[in-house]
Amino acid sequence: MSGFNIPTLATDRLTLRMPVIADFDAYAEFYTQERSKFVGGPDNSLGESWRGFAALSGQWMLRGYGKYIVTLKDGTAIGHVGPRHPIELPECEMGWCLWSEQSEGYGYVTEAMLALRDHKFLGLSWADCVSYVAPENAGSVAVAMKLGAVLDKSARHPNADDPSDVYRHQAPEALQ
Amino acid sequence: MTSIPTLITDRLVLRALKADDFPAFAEFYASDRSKFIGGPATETQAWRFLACEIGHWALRGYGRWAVEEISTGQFCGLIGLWFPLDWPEPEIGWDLMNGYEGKGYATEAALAARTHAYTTLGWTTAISLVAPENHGSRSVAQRMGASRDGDFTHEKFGPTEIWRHVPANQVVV
Repeated sequence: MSGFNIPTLATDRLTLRMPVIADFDAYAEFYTQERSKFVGGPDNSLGESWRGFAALSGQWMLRGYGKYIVTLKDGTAIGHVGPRHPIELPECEMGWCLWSEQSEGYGYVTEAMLALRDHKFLGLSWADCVSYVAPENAGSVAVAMKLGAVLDKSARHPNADDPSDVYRHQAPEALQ
Repeated sequence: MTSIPTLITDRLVLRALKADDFPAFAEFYASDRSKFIGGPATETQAWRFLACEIGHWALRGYGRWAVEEISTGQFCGLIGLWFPLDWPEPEIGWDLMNGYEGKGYATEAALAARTHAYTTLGWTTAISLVAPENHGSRSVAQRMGASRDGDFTHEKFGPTEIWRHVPANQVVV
């Protein structure tokens, strides 16, 4: 017997929990929008979106850590955040995604990411993670800065033609 | 917490997939043998496929197992219950890794998966999709007693034959 043992995290306004199938419609809707362009979208194939969504859960068993779904306290799922290390990335990527424009501007992403920073993931240290951020994605640049990540010009990119900047996360102790 | 049970047959163990299975999985997807199921595919794509296979368990509560040869402990196939969003209905699916064809492993593992579906999960019926040129796969469906039941064309995988398995109420378990 083997299974998904994904601890739920709570902040003042948010819950971070494992992906469940009821989240799929909102996730798929996000992937049809232009705002998904920084994370591989838009993609109008529901079948492909479903496979991508399933892969979020699957990575937990392959790596021991993975993406969380972020919900408001009323249960509304608003995005996904967390570490991801598919085979093509040279390092583990710490990522964040708000699915709808309506959730922007409340500091939800920063709140979720600070909770993740305090969480001890099995087999993963925060300082081993980077975030790939498109320079024009001002919202994400701001989140990276709030988390204390620093621009690393010498980091390897997953693709030679990838125009994104690499922000390297810092050990929480070093940020005190 | 979604759990992945372990099943045991005469020669095989059906267990949860793990990262150690990736090299054989990627080699299968790199080979021409994966042409009936969306391959050949790059290592990057294969990693995503493997994560998807495992995640299917979290989303559906069932999925495909890693099949291990008891005599060697080697990972030799990916077999079980498969129902992604764009499938016509829940399927029993089988992929043997390279070098494990011709031993009857697909049939042996697929029968165990069918039993799990019909008993533990309470399914009343199940299908298998077979690409028209995939004669080995069609033979597995036939050996299991399945019969032709129309066609299904997938937007990415193309035309497939639907093979319907012996229904639960006619299977002697």
